[in-house]
Amino acid sequence: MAWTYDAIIGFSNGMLKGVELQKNKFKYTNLLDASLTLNTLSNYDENKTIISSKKRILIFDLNKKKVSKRYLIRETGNIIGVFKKNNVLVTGVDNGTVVVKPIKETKTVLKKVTTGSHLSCIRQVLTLDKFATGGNENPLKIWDLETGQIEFTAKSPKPDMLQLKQPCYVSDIQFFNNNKVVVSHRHGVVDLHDPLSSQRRPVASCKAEKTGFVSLRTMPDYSDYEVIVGTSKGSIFHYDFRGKSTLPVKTFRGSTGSVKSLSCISYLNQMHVMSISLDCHLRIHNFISGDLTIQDYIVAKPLALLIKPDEATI
Amino acid sequence: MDIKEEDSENEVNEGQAGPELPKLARKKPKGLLRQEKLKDLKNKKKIQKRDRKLRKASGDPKQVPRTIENTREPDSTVFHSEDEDFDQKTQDLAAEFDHDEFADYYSDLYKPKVLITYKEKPLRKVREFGKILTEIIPNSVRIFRRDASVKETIQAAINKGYTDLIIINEDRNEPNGLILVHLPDGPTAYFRLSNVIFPNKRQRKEFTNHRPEVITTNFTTGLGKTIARMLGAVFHQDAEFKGRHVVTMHNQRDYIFFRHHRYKFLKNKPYLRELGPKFTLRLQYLQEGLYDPKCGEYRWIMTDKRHKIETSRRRFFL
Repeated sequence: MAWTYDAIIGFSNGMLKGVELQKNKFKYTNLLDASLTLNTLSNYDENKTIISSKKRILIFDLNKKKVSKRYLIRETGNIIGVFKKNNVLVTGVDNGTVVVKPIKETKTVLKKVTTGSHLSCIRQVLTLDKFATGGNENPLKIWDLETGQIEFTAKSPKPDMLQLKQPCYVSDIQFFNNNKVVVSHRHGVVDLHDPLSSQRRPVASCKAEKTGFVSLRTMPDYSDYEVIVGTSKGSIFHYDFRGKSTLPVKTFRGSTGSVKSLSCISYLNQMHVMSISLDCHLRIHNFISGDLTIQDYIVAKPLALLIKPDEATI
Repeated sequence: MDIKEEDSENEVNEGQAGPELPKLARKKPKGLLRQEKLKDLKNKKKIQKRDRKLRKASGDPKQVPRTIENTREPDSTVFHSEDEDFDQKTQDLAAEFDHDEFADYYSDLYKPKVLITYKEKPLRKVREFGKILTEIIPNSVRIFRRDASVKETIQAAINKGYTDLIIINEDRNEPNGLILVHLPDGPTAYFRLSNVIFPNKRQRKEFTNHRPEVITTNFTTGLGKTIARMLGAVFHQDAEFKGRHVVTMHNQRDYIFFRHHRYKFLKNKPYLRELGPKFTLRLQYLQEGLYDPKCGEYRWIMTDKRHKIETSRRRFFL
């Protein structure tokens, strides 16, 4: 098994570091110095990860600690997300085009899908051949990968009581196992959509005052209603869509900068929340008590976090 | 003998266990109390002085006074040379500074070009303040932005090739806020501006067009270093030493003091002459990217959560 690290962090100065969890300590190993800003990380297979910078995609071998393949995206704009599905790489660029490339050939482009301007997020649907996109004034859309057609479009948010238009800025999308979609907005709203129903407005939504949401993650214990969200001012909220209240169930405090990415991880046989934030710290909170367990200064600005995947998901 | 002893014992017992009458607690007059306190203080100082003399005579080292600065709470982002991974961390920091937004400036790839604007309709005092700043900061221009929003101003400044943007806010004819934006892709910092003292007539006469030297001191933490780099990047890199001007930005207990001096060496001794203006800056937030208060991501923010952050008066962030 090549995943000797518990997590991998990509930095803005091009470093890639593996993190091992030890008792009350983190252990770091330098994997790569690419001198490109590493925007996103995603899984490729058992011992490879996909790294993307502004215009390039690298496939990194964790065993040999080497870059095995390079791709170049010729688009005006930066890459905002990459994932691998079957035998193709699907890349989202922030001018709105989604580029589909075969894995074996680095130069040919299979397909291009235009998904509207100011794209900020692209995610794959785990079980089906679909992907979801969203961005600034660009609400959630679910696309079919083979045909390139829209399957579901969320309606823009409801106007308020004075009939004024509400802003819409999707920051992150995640899927539950029952194919419901959670969308976090930069204006402090988390929405739960049901693409199977005829309702295009959110089924449930939660709100926060004075903060925006940056990152989102569903819980790994197959509960289809709970979600953790990182805000732009540094706290992490735990929301539950089952209740009537729109307030968070729990808050994880401690960070003074925007939570760039977060994930659930098991540490000392208990569930913990691991997060990276723009104040250059790596933190672990206990999920049950909500206390800060460990924090460490990681010097450079982290942008992406990838947790060791379960063996079943690869 | 026995009887006598008993008697004496009895007497003693009486004296000890007898009913204690409450003494008439007469309040001392206030003046007397103050006098006593002064006396105590004088005695204390005398003892201290004697101890100091004794220490000096015996050759013991000087005692260090306890101040807020040297009892400050330890910060994880300050490096100490005795840390186990000190080398790795300094290496990482150097790599970070090679790739951040100010790397181009510090590797001397461009010359800064600064735009100074005000709030929508500035009053006299804040216009005067902007005028003085343009005289100090080399290669800077000031304009009125009229009804253009901050975001529009930023876009226009990027198109015209400016590298930094300063926006001064005012309240009741007093400058009270300063937004500093590094163009073209951030970061943005907002400072509270206070205690602005303008140069007087004599000082204004001594202003020259030479580019000043810039000193940023006492920034220790990771955030502080970023702020220092940001403030330094507003000024020109190569100073004109002929002008003998120096701009100092000194950080003390999270307040950044701005001073402008003219120096002279007489018999190898430096002499300073203050030119003004004097003001202090206090960081409110540092934002990633361009100015966007609603959707922006913050690297560090104090507004709305000051009580959560300021847990102790010995905790500092810069």
